[in-house]
Amino acid sequence: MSFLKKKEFYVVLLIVVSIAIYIPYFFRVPQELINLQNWLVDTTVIIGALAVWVGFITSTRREVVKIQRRRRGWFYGIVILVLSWAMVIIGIGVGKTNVIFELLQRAFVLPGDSTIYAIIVFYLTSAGARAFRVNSFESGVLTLGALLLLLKQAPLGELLTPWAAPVAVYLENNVAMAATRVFSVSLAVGSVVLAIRLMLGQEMALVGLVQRVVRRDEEQ
Amino acid sequence: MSFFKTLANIDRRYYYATVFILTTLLLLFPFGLPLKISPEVRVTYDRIDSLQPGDLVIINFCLTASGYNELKGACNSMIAHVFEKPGVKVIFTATADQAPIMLEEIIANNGELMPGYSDYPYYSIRGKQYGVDYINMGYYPGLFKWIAALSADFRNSLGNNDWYGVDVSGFLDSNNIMEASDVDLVISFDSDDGAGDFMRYFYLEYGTPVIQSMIGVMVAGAKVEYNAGNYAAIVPSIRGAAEYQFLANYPGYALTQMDAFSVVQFFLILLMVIGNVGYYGYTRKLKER
Repeated sequence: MSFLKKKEFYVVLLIVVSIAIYIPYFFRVPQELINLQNWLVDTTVIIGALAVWVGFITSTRREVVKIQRRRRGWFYGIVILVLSWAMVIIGIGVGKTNVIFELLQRAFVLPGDSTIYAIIVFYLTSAGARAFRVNSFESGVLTLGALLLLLKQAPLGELLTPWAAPVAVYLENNVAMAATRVFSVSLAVGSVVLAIRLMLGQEMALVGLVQRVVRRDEEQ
Repeated sequence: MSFFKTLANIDRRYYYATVFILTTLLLLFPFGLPLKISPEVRVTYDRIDSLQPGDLVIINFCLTASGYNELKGACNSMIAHVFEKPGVKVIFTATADQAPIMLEEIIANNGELMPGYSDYPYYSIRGKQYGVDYINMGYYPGLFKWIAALSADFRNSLGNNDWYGVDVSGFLDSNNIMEASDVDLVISFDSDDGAGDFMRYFYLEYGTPVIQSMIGVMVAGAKVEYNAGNYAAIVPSIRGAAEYQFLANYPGYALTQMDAFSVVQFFLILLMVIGNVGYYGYTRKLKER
């Protein structure tokens, strides 16, 4: 089993898996290769589920160290540990559809998540007054675009300023669309390039096989 | 000068208090502003309305609690509309871990317990019975990995047991649901990109139309896909949800929120103006000195 410690083994594994995933997606291949691709994709779902455990154990270790050393916010570490372990023990013990498990979700997870998201509106209004300041041509264009979209988006705006909607729709469907498509196309081309680099064994940093070298000027 | 100085230095807590008061008052006492229906929501309505008996719809919840309030109106009205169509079969799935709870809430909102049952999953929605017309398969981990697996190996990736452990293979067999190509429509309620993954693995692979209802921050990206023809239709955020509720004659939460939404947006515009007046009248002059 010493080959498991060798970097070359993982490089070969990475190249084989990349070929098995990418080639059937882009080309017509024999059924056996498609079956292998399906099996690999199914396997990633299981690996992903196991990765949650890795995250959970890492989080527990981090919080325990924080509590032991009485670092700032250590009390919250206790809350995290108690709640997360309670969810795991109750979830495994009584099942995902059990009333106690669902109560914990409904009483803690859902209200907490909703509250954090809802708070954004307060920061948004504050940012409206402070961030949208016209101090250059570019910021003026940005602010004008934001104003038009706000007028179009709100039913009250459609009622009071009907002229704003067609302009905002034009901005959305042409100007914003062009900018967003740049990202979409770049992402797609980047994915293909990444696939080729993985298949050639050129992208080792992505899977942690080599560390990315950080130059001193980059660090600063 | 003191007037501009006051405008430039308004304590942000006043903004927060005003937003809180405006939102609360308008949610309690909405005055019902007129609403214009956008073309993309009209397309969504027509697409769902054209479902035929025997069609199979996957309704996916890629939704967390943070986005639930924004999309609750769309979930209720669109699902009710699908269930009104005679002979249409539905498979509910979830690709976010919190989603099954919200899914159950939506099912309970739109349905009633079937005679002889006292708990989930046995709800009847608009005359459609659990296990006969629809099933709830619950949460699948892996998001795009699971959707890719579902596209390639539908029955094995879906499994034979629903979220409650009940064997639903009879439902799948009797409706001849064998492969991903048997799916006629996918509707995804998203605070993550579930519809994007269905588009990549179902629309691009089999031509299955995908409809997305998404939270506000995802609207720009969704419009690109919609205009490119990758999504069959979209229901953008709470505004889209309100329009759909109006179209489907399902008055509710999203429509009620529209007045508060409008007024808070106008307050935001007012703040942008105040901020700039204060900046030019006081802060900038101060800097110039």
